[in-house]
Amino acid sequence: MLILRKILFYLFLAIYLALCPVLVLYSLGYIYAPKSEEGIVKTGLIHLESLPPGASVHLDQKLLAEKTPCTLSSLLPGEHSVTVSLNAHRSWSAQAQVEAGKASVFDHVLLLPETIKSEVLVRQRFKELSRIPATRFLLLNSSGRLGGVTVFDWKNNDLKPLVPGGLADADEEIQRVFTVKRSPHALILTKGNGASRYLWFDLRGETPARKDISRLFRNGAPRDVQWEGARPGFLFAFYEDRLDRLDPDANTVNTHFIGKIKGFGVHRGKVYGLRKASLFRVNADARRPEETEVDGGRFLTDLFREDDSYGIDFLTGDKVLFRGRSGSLLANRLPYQFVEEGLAGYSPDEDLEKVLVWTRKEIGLLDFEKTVPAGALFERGIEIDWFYQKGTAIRKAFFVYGTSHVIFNNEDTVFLMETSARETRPVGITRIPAGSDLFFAEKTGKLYHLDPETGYFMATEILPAERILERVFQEAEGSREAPAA
Amino acid sequence: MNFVYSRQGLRGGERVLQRFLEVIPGVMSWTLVIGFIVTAFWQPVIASIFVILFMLSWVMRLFYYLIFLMLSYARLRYEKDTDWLSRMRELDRLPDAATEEPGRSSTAKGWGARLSCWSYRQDLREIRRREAFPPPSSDIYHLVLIPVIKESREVIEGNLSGLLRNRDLLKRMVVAIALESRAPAEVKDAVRALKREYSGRFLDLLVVEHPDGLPGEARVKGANASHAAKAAGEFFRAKSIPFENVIVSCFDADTVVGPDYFACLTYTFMACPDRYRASFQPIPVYHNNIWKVPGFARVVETGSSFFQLVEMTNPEKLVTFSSHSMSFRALVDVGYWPPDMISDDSGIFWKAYLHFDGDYRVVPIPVTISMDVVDAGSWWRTCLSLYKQKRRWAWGVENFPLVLRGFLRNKKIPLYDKCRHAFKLLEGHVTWAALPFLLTFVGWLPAILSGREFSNTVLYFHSGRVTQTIFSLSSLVVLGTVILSTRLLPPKRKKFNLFWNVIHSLEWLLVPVILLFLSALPALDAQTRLMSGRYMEFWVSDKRRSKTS
Repeated sequence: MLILRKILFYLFLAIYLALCPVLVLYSLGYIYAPKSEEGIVKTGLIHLESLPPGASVHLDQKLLAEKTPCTLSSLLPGEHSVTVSLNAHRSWSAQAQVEAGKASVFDHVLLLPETIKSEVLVRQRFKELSRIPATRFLLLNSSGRLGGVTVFDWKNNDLKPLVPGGLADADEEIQRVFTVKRSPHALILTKGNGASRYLWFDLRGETPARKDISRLFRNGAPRDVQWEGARPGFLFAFYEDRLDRLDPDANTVNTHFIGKIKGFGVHRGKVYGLRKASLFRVNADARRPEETEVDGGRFLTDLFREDDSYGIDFLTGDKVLFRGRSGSLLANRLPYQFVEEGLAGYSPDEDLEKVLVWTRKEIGLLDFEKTVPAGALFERGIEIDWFYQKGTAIRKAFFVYGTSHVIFNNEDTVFLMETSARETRPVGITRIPAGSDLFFAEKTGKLYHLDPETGYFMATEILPAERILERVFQEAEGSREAPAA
Repeated sequence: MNFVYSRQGLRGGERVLQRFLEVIPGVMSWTLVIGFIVTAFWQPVIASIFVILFMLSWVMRLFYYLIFLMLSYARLRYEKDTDWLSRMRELDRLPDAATEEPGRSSTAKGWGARLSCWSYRQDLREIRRREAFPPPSSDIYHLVLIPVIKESREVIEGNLSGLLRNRDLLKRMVVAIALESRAPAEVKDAVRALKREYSGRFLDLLVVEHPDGLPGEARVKGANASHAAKAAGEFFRAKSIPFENVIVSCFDADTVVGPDYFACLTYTFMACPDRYRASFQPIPVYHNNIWKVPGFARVVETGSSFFQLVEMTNPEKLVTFSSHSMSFRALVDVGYWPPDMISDDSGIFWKAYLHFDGDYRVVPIPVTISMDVVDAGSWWRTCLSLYKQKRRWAWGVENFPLVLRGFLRNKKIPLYDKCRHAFKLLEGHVTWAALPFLLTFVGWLPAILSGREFSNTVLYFHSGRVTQTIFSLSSLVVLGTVILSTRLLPPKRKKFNLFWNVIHSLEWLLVPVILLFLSALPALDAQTRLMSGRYMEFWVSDKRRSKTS
């Protein structure tokens, strides 16, 4: 037994020592290529994942046995053409640059159907569509009046009128709608019989609850109104340079809650105010607000325009965006100023690491996680990568399929394009009425819009149903989306 | 050599050395585990390559073990029909008249019988060559020590019933129940009742009560067993039975031996030229209540038996474990079991090894002894009890510093043997604690912790594929162990339908979880306690036996 044991031990040891270098070299990408000069060549690979999966793969015009998702390994360095195709879908192609030891990863290949399906959700003519960001609610307006507003819950596919029919105020004209991301509330300024009213709606429930809080707006129409959360205690109305705090439950208003500010934002129970040379915060529910300086200095004076006002948006505790009324976009990361003017909107991704930014003419990606290239002398911070610059009237844009694609409208056509393939032309998806809004929900994979001819409320399938099953088990409430443009 | 195999009463440099050596196994285990996590985060390329090399070595090791597991199991099978009593009598006719055709049962045929005969012939030749002729079998006595503290009557009686099945040797068997004085009254009453009932069946049945709190003793089984052994020694002196003719077997209270255990033991003792420098280790199995416990407990204990089966094929590195036997002469010479160590079973081997300057070995004997699987009533309590039992077994790491101190003092043991034993002792405990953690997390950790840069490399994609393939090969080993387990386990008392038979086979899929929580974690716990100086108290495993078992 001892001899047998020794024999087997040395045999296994020999096998192990022989296999180790082979496996390690294979794992690093080395293959034995007898035709090459060196004999052993370091290869690269291409990794493909498509939606829907199961698509055929052509590599350098040769059909392969693999179907997506797949990894094409042992590829010699150089350029390779890759085509992914699926029956009844538009094929996808790319030129992949394979480098030795590296992987070219295409893990978000979206195969659009040749015929894009749309369905009518509501057979009724609507004039406007507006959404409440990061909630499941859309507001459909057929007449510009309160009675013509329908609330659509895209998650539950549910429809209900904002105001029950037959009520007197149904005829009131809608002047303005204030909404806040992640909040299922809407503050609507209406005008009827010569008087303006502020109506506070809670959109949850079978019938949206409402309350007339016009008394709280004694000093005219504010520039902006913000609140926080699903059960906001207070509303904050921003006037020229001051902030009033409104309590709808107690029906009280604290005028000049904070004064002499040029911008504000609400985050985690605190109100942040921007002054000339300082950024401070106060407790939202404080009786007497005590200001605590968050940051300050001359650089703030240089950064923020004196003649502008700003909305402060906390993506996370350490990622803050400042949106100027004049169309500028700033952040608390170098180089601070990202868009000087003409900002039309922005939309963060689900992980709050990237932000889609657009103006009327271009769409770009702001990546907070992007690192400075190694060896760079100048500390330059992050930059917007403007991957589409051929727009003329871009109004809305949304991330699709993670951050791999973007859907946007340019004038009255909706397009889909990859964020990384700037040479590729955007694919036209559908058309919408001029000036109309649109909305894409990653959770359902559908684009919600109005039909340009009939005005019907439509849903167009962008992501196939298989993808949606993955989302069933994800968090229930609210996709994180941009504030209204 | 004047070396006290104990960590008690150390002073100065010896104490520092003892603490230093106590720290080593825990540090190594933790370094392996944490080091891998840090490497996976900081250098994912190196970690991925390590993953591949590690997984390959692991699978090859599994196949290596599987071969010896099968060989060991084969030996168990082919020796099952061996007539050990006949062989004993043949050995009595040494040096001249012993034939080289040993007795076998009339049904034994084929390759098993041939192998068994070949093994017997090897034994005869070795005895003749070294002229190490054994005492006559009629002069050989057995001392069976059964330490008891809170075991029930049913458990102890099961043990005695097993002994009684060795009919031919009962009149040369002395049973000593080593009873702790702190045992509950009902246990004491039960033991006394058993003495009245059974003492006439053996040469004698002694009940030796071990007083509590004797100087130099901890509350451990070894102290109790040693006390009983000393009392038995007086018995043998009174009867003028030389210690050289006595084989002592120290059994756990729940041990049940088969009808041929003592015959096999006697034969092996007689056939071993170094009989006074050897311990005799049977294969521990846990069949007493194996079909009554939860599946995970069954898998754990079967795995332990398999490990012992594999170890049996490497007697050069075998160490005594659990119930075992040895020459009483050797036991007395080395000073009995350590009275202050929990791991007295392995401790006695090392103590003897050091005492005899490396001239001591363990001889595997091809019979099984059956014990109880831990059963604490409910699923969860059984799980906890099992965890504590494994931690107690893993506390065998306490031998490492003692053995190394002994090696440093001893100038007669060859350096090669010292290094070999020290390495195996350390490596065994470290892999016991760290390996399952690495196995569980090693495959995916670099991929999770690495940044974007690594995920765009060929290595990122290939390492996953390679490790997955290697891991799939290990499933063949699992399949082999499942098949072997179905053959090793006793027949089920209750007839299970096909569904439950499949379920019992599928229990082996629990191995990854069991390895982690009921093997590695207790081992790491034990090593960490040793490292931090929190020495363990003895804890007796929960064992239950129904009256009908």
